[in-house]
Amino acid sequence: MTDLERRLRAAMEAAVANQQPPGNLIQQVRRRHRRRTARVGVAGAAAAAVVAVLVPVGIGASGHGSGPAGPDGPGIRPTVYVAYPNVGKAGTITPIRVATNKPGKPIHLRFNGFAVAAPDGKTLYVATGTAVIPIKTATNKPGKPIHLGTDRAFTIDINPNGKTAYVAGIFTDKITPINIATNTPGKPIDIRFGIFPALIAFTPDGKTAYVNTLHDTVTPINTATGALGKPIQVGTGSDSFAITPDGKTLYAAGTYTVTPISTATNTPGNPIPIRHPASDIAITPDGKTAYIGSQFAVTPISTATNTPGKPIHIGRPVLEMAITPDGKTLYVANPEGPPGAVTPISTATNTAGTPIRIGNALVIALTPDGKTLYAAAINKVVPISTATNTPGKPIRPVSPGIPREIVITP
Amino acid sequence: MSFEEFVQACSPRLFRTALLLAGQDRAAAEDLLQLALERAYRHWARVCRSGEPERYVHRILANASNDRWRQVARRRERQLSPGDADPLAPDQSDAVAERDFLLRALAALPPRQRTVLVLRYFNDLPEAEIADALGCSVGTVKSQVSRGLARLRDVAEPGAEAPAGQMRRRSLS
Repeated sequence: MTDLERRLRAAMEAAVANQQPPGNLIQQVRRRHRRRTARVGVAGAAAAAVVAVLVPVGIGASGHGSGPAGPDGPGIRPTVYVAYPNVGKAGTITPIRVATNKPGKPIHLRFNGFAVAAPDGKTLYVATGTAVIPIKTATNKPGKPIHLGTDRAFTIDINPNGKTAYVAGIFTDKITPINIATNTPGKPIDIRFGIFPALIAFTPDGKTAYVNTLHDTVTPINTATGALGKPIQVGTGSDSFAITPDGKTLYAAGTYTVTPISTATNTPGNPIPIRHPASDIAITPDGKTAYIGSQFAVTPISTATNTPGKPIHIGRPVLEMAITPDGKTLYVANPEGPPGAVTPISTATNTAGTPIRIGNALVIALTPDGKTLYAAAINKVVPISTATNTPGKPIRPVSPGIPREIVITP
Repeated sequence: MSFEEFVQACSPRLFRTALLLAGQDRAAAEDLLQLALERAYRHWARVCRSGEPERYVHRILANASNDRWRQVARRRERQLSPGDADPLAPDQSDAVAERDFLLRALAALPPRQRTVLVLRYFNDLPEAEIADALGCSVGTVKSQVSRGLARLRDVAEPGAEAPAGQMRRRSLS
């Protein structure tokens, strides 16, 4: 460090050493939030009255990072990839064979984003911040990085047509399409607003992608042309997306509202109030119920009437949810403890079962056949039998870091 | 960690960063911090999920600061006026005065340069994390740090051209 750098550091430290934030900072933040929420509420209502003409979309569902895995995959044996980033250093992605629950050789990679599996299960794509790295699942060796320049690559999802991946950073306003046949980036799509949180969802026919922005709007993109639709105001923001299996409605769950959006017209319905900020959303395979995870509770919403049911109290903040392919059980990761747990909820009765105590499970994912739920915590991954809701032997070693995501190939 | 626990634990550090980003304008720093925290509050579940909420809020803070400066005007970079340096003239070796001058020079830097210097030397963030926070490459961070330091050196480093112990006055634009 040069003398100037030392003096600059000392000057900055001395200048603010005794400075304290205002004592009522939390109240100020809450007041600001209420003002903003009220403002957005008015804007949202106004926007709801406007009919926007946009590209009609088809049926099905796709969500962030979920990958197009299905029980009828191309026959590749399922592999669980658990991603543990490590800021500024190489993180690890640990492959685990579902059949043996043994960890394979970890893939060392510097990354800070999410990952997604290609529909054929042959490639895993990992967003590293400035690039996307394809990893062949046959060898688990990273391929040549797909550099995206200074556009950051944080979240990635693949169009159900299996041809294109969309990659977005946080706060940037560019979505970069990647041709996954050639692993080459296309011309970035400028959505004009910063993206945060970074969510991308495709309609099942792949014709429209929805992207979340900083300004509490969801922007539709015509994937054939890259043309933007009119931004859709979504109540008090969106922290999670999900599209009903019939593809007709996108639910955007935000701070205090869940906004249903007609994918045929791209118009928002009336925001559905919820009590706490939403963290995740899961829709039953029959499309009848959307479950909204938030602090301390899961709220079921009837998609027929868009009315919330009685909240199912969990007692801890809900982080992630996964629903079995038969739609009978919703699993909720509620890691804040001690000890953290995964809680099963019966969708028939909307009641929480006995929490499965496995430590601070931060991310969860179900195998395509729904028989095993994998829960990743710091330094371990726990397989849980969905038939008995009992945890198996923890899989180690993985990584001492914080897990970012579990991706399961078909 | 609840949002309230986070604010209690981290707000002094965040506030000090905000103060430096805002050129020590206390009102602007409070507003900046409120804005960043409100934005984090809105998405608290996601912010927590990152596992590094403070890093996330730093990211919001740094970007909000850059945005604010962009909005405030594409305003011209503030130039050091003769008055900025005058107080130093009587006592060139005074460490406090030099520190003061350095901080004013820092405040007069282009926002992005100021932000990288604050994150690098006050928050001790490695270049990779700064790049991550600002959404740019490590190379860009390095060049911004280098340019920012060069500008500070121009005004604060006792150079060969200047009389001993005397700082050179120079426009930062």
